[in-house]
This record gives sequence, structure tokens and C-alpha cells, in this order.
Amino acid sequence: MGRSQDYIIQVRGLSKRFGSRSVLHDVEFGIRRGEFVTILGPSGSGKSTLLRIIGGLEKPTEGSIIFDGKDITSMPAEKRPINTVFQHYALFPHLNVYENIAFGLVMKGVDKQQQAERIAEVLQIVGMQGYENYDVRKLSGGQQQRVAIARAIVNKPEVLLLDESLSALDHKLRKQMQRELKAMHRQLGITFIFVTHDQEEAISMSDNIVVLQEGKVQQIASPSEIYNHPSNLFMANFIGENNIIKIQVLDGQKIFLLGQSVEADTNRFMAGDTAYAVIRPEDVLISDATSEEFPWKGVVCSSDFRGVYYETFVQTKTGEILQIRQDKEYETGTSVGIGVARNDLYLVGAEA
Amino acid sequence: MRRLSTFVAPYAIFMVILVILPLVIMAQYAVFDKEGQFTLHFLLSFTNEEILNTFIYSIGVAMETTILCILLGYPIAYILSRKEMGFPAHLITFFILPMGVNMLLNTFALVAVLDVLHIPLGTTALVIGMVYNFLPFMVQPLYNSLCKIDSNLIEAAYDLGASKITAFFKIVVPVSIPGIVSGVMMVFMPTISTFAISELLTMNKVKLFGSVVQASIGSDMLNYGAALSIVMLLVVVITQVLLKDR
Amino acid sequence: MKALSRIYVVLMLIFMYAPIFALIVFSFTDSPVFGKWTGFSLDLYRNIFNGEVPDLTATVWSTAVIAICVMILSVLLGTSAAIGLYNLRYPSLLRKAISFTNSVPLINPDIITAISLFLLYVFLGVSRGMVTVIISQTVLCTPFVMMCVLPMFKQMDKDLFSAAIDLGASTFQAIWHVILPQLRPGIVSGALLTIALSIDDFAVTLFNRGNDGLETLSTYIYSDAQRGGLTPEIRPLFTMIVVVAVIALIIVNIYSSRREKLRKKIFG
Repeated sequence: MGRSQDYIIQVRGLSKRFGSRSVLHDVEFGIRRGEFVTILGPSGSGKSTLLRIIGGLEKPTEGSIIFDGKDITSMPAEKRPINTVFQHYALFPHLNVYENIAFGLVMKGVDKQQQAERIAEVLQIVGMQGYENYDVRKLSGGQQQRVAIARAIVNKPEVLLLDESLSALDHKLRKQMQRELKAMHRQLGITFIFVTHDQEEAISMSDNIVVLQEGKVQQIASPSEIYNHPSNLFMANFIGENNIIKIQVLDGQKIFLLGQSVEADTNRFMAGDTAYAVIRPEDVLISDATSEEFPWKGVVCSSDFRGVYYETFVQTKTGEILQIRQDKEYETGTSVGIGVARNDLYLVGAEA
Repeated sequence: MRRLSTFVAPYAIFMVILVILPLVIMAQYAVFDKEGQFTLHFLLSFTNEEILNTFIYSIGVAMETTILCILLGYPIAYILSRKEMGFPAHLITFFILPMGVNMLLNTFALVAVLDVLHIPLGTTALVIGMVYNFLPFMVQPLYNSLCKIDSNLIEAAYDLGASKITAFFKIVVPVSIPGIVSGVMMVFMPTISTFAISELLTMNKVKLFGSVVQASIGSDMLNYGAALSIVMLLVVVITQVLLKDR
Repeated sequence: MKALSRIYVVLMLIFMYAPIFALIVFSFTDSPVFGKWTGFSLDLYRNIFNGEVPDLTATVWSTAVIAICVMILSVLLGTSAAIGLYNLRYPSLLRKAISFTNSVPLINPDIITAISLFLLYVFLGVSRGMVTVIISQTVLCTPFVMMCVLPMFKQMDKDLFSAAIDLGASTFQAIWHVILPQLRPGIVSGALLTIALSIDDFAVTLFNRGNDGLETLSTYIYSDAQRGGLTPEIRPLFTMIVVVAVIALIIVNIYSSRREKLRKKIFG
């Protein structure tokens, strides 16, 4: 990690247990001021719990949260300069749009004039001008979400937490909201912490991604780093679509892959280690001819046009099925040669 | 949220002092007599013929009342729950209304009417009065339970060739059993333990178990009364357990 | 078939309401004997209010005071307990214990509750009077309040409290501004139910009122009937209670059907 002043939030050694069940284990990372960070993970990975702990709605069993250099682990949620947008928005049903948004301001004792100004401001940011007197129960999902965001940001928090807020929206609306959230992030300049299980969403929106699985951090990196260099088997499976093949590490920068000994960057491993080769579908080379570039032989199982490429599946002589994306049409049953450039052969172990 | 769970504390303390402790004390009174000797009064109470008779009689009255309430109340609940019968939906409210009026007042009104009709007070009046007071308690759960029956179920039965009567007994009744059980619980047990109503209805001539208990408490035979109460409690608990399994 | 069922329902209605109706009718005559109509008169009504029957007036007053006190206590205890119970981590042993103990006054015949509380007061050396009656009725009524309030949590977004806290509300502010408004229908029906139960209560009052002559409606009628005579002023009192019950039921019905309509509009 870099200088502590860079980080607005630091999570240190965070663990959370409910009875005997461990939900978070030794989670550690830092978030820089103004960043858009996504906490990404499958269901049950503990990501929502982590978010709630940062927001002050849960207390960790061990570890601490440092905010701007100060330990806020025992500070209750109502005192933290952090606001949350909840998964189902949690709008107060008995209050209208204006009153919902005003809630935080009322609690702080902001005067009525100021309230009106700030509420008008955020309504504009979220695009809900004119909806002040609406019954929140009668709004659509997308509108409710905007009100929820408005209600949070009107308090000018230093950090905004979003708990899978886009999950309940349909696909098109979701994409639109993703763009709007990014725009808001740029406009407001505050730190966003976003929780999702959708890796495409994470990769398209974030400056930095923290990946959780079963309560443990799997990787912390930028979207391109995570995409190109997954840190372990779980990450390789989770992010993007990859061919993952078990290999054996041999002496001298060589691995045993698909029945052949080939060159690869084995610096992180020792001879005899089990590891996995991660090859992206678009990096697999395929050809009718057999030559040195294409050391493996196989038979085409299927090849379907997908507009931009052909989704082709080839079964190698060793029995593996590889997913390949390329631009030539192949008939099922054709014998082909498969190859991959050394740089595109990426290795991971089971653990990071 | 964790912090809200402490809100249960006042009531929890309240219950320990005012629900658990009294029962413990009552049990204590029941098994010890005035001098502090350990006895098993309530076993003795069963050997007293008069008490035993009263007890059996009370159960008998309770069963009669419950059965009559089911026989009279089920049709009401059923008819009102079937929209096609054409009764306004809120008519059920009127059958439930008497629950909101003091039971003694209800009985009082009934006694006055019985008097006018020259029906003498006594065992018949007792049963009439019990049914009168407790019918709403049977009708309400029955109605709630019958309302939940999807009319599609009955139509499906007709479709499969069942006559109206068969459909009723093979489909409607079994599905409404939770309602019947509910109703029975709300009628049978209060009927055993009530005493004021029976005294009003029979001019004190007929005593139910509840009256005996009340009398013994009133005349300072606390231990005895406590013992009888425990007996009643056991009957109630046993009934509960038997009915809960359904 | 339809005709038969209509006749049946009408007959049952007559059965249930004949006594009530008769009593209401005869409240408008001042005949001391029930059944003899001696001309229309509002005397009996006046008598209740102008102190002609002081015992009855005092009784009505006591009943009302007790009912209101019990309502306030039960609602406070029951709502607070419901909030606490809902937030206890499940499957907590404590949660089960509280649920069970809560159902004891519901299952027990009221005479058992009455006697057990009486023995408690004897044990503690507490003298019995209005206060013990209020406490004892609260024991009986609070479980009902719990039963009315707890279901309201199911329809509530589980993050509402968290949202309020997140926005800067203290625990109490969050409960007051956000939770209680959601619970309100349950609290209202619990309160009304408590008042009805309190007025209707007999056993608990009888055993725990002490010897100072405290009378509530039920005990008054009871001792009145024991004495043989039935005070005619009870008729208008009865009428008024029935009217209040009808109005209360209508209000509750309108309120709940309005909420049903709103819910159907939103959720389809």
C-alpha cells in the first residue's frame, strides 16, 4: 500500500463471524480518495457484510476500519460521513420523495431554506425534478433508485456505498444506470464503493476491484489487471471466459500442457507444482494445417456464428475441450491444429 | 439490528415477575398446605366426589357447547365465505361484533330475554347462554379458514364428478380443519373455566368447575384453590398438546 | 339451496341480536322491569350522567380509567417487545423463550391468570386495588398487542432502520420517525383490542381488586345480578357500549379496506 494519506478508507485485518460461521476472514485493503471501487464476489462471499461494516451497520469481530487516518471501528453509523444506497432502496413508504430526501438533513437540523436548495440540486443530478410530491411506493424501480441515491448524496457524504443497487433493474435500465452512476461519480468527485456479483459491471465501472470469495480477498487490482492476470484459479473461473487446463510445471520454464511440453513463464512456480494454464478464447490459434506453431491436434465439436466471431469448440487429442473465438467457419468434425503464443499462456495456482 | 434487541428487556422482566413467578407460586401453594407440609392436594381433590362430579359436569357442558357451536357456526361461516351466496362481504362483522361487548352484559341481555320468553333458568339456559356467548369465537376462525379456500378447488371437484355434498365433505371440511381446531380451542377451554356466566344463567343453582375454584379462593382456602387451578391448568395443557399435533 | 341458507343466516342473526336489540329498545323506557314498556323516555340515560345511580357512574369511570391505563401500558410494553423480538438474532433460545412465555396468558384460562396473580400479590405483600387490576390486565393484554404488531414487520423493508441510521438518525429518532409509522396499523388494532379486552375482563378484576369497593362494569353486573335485581340503568349503558363497539368496528373496517385498496393499486 502507498502513503496512508492517499487512502480515505483502510480496512485492516477485518474478520466477521456469526456464531461459528465465518463470513469475513482477515480482509485487508485500502481505498483512495475519489476512487470508484467495486467489491466483487459471488453470493455468500461476504461482500454485503463488508459494506455494512464500512458503513457502520455491523460491527466486525476482529480488525479495524480507518477513515482518513482515524480509527472509526466503534463509531456508530449515524456519525460516519458515509451514506448508503440499499439493495431494495429502503425508501420510507410513509414519506414522499421530498421528505425522503430531506430526512438526513432534518436529522442534522439543516434549516428549511437550505434543505430546499440542496434537494433541488440533487433532484437535478439524478434527473427527478418535479417529482417532489410523489408517493415513493408508486415510482418505478429505476425512479426509486434515483430517489435513493439522491437521499444519500444530499448529505454530502465523503464516501457513498452502493449495495447491489442495480440488481433489481432490467438489463437495459441497468446499463443506463451504470453510465449515470459513472457520470455522477465524476461530477460529485466523492469516493464510491460499489458492491456487485456481476463482473462485467465491475470491470466496466471501476477504478479498482476487490474480489471476495467465501469471506477472503482473492485479488485487488484494476479491471484490466484482473482481466488479464487473474491471481488464482477462482479468479480465472470467475472473470471473463477462460480456458482453464490443469498442467504440470517442469524444469526450466517449461510446462506439460495437453500432452505436450511447451515453454511458459513459470517464475512463480517450482518444478513439480500443480498449476493451471489460463488461455482466453480469443488467444487460441487455430488452423487446418499442422505445423510447429500448432503443437496440439484436435477435432472441431461445434462452431457457431456470433456476429463478431465464431464460437468454436475443439476437443483435443487429450480429451480437453477448448473454447475458441476466431473468424473462420469450421465444419464439425474437421481436424485442426491448436496453438497459443507464449505470452498468452498465463499460469495460476489454486491459491493466490 | 443488534442494538434494537434490548427493547425486549422491559417486557421480558415484566413477564418473569408477572407470568412465570405467579405460576411457580401457585404450584407451590398447590403442593404445600397451610402449615408448610408437602402434600399432594390435587390428588386428594379427585377423591372428593362433589368436586369430581362438578369437574365431569363442566367438561360435559363444555363439550356440548363446543359441538353446538360447530354445528351452528359452521354453516354461518361457510355461507358467508362463499361469495356466490350473495351476502354482503361485511356481514361477518356483525357475527363477530358481540365479542366486543362485555360477556356479562351479553348474558345479562340474554337472561332478560329468556325471562320474557318464560324459559326457566337452569341447565338448558346454561347451554343456550354458553353457545350465545361463544358462537362468535367459533365463527371467526372458521370464517378466516374457509375464506382461504380457493373456489377453484371446489369447481375442480365438481369437474371431476363430485356431487355438492361429496365436495363439501371431502374437500371443504378437511381443508377447514385448522379453523375448526382454532375455534374449538377458543370455545372449549374458556367454557370449562368460566364461572360468572354460569352463575348468572342458572341463578347459582348449577356450579361449574370455575365456580368451585373461585369459591375456595374466596373463602381463604388458598392452597385448595391453587391445587384445583393446577388441575384445570393441566387439563388445558393436555388439550392444547392434543390439539396442537393436528 | 340459496333460499335455505338465507333463511338460516337471518335466523342466526336474530338469535344473536334479539337480546341485544331488546335491551337497546328497552333502554329508551324508564320501566324498572325489563319487558314492560312504559312509554318513551330518556330518563335512564340521564340518570347515568346526573349521578342518580352513583355506583354505576363510579363503575363506568373506573372501567374507563383502567381501560385507558391498560391500553397505554400494553401498547408501550408490547410494541417495545415486538421491536426487540423481531431484532433478536434467530434461532435464539431467548427468542423462543419469550415467544413461549408470551403465549402463556393467551392459552391459560383467565381464571388461572387471575388466581396466580392474586397469589403473587399475596406473596409480595402488595395490597390489591386499582393498580393491581391495571397491572394484571396488562399481563393479559400485552400478548395481544404483540400479536397485532409483530406481523407488521413482515411487510416492512428490512433495511428501513439501517437507512434511517445511515442518514444520521439516532436509535430513538429512527424508531420514532421510521419504524413506528410502519407499525401504526398494528398498534392501533392492538390498542383497540386491549380496550375491548379490558372492558370485558371479569376474572382478573374480580380477584385482584381488593376490598375497597372497586367495581368495573363486569363486577358491577355480577354483584348486581347476585343481588337479584338488575339495575335498569344498565340498559342505556349497554346500548352505548354496543354503539361504541359498532363505530370502532366500522372505523377499523374502513381503515383496513382502504389500505387493501392502496395495496392492490400498487402491487396489482
